[in-house]
Amino acid sequence: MAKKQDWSREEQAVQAVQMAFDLSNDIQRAFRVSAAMQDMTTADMVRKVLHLPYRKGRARPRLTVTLKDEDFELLARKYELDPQDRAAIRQRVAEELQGFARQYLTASDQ
Amino acid sequence: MDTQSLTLALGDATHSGRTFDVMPIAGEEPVLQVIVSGAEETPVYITVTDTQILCLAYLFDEQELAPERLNELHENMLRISVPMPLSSLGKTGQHYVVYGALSPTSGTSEIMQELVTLAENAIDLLQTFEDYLA
Repeated sequence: MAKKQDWSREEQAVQAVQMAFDLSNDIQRAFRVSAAMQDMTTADMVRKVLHLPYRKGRARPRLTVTLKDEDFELLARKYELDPQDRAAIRQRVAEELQGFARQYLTASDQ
Repeated sequence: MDTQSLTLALGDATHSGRTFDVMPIAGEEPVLQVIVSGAEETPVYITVTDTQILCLAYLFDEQELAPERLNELHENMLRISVPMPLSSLGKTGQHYVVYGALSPTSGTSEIMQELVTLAENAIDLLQTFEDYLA
């Protein structure tokens, strides 16, 4: 390559953005993990750290998944069910999620 | 325009119905993380030097990509980079990024336009290149 201009200042700026990105990712992960461990939302965890009022305990602890038409198609194929039989598909989804949770809890006990 | 005045200007501003959540990130060089409302999943990072205001959003890392499709992805990235409004594609370290550079004399309105466009472009690009992820 031909001799280029001195862009070291710009290189430095790009590096600074890189470091800021890594740092903010680490910070976000720390908040997500600590919030999950204390059964709180990430937003409430931020409020707790800042000593602002926050909701103690989740108002509605729930586990939901919104299934679109194409999701039902994919799941029906996977479970070998009729795509129209949504109740049966939901039943299998619930079983699969419970299976994951049981396995996860057993694994983290060890 | 410096990062401090930008923090103040963006904090209270609205552009095309969007608001800006600004978080200064400490370090040797001041960097701002800006979250544009409606595009929360793609934060934009801003840094100001003597020659430019650099706005940058992270797309994906090299290790997230399917190696056998890397050449095809690069070809597509170069092609899409030209018509894409106000933004270009690039790479810093292992990270693929979309960025826009503005003159340091740009006003708040131009910067907000860039931020909104960049954050939206980042979301579109993530969808466009989804198939290349391993």
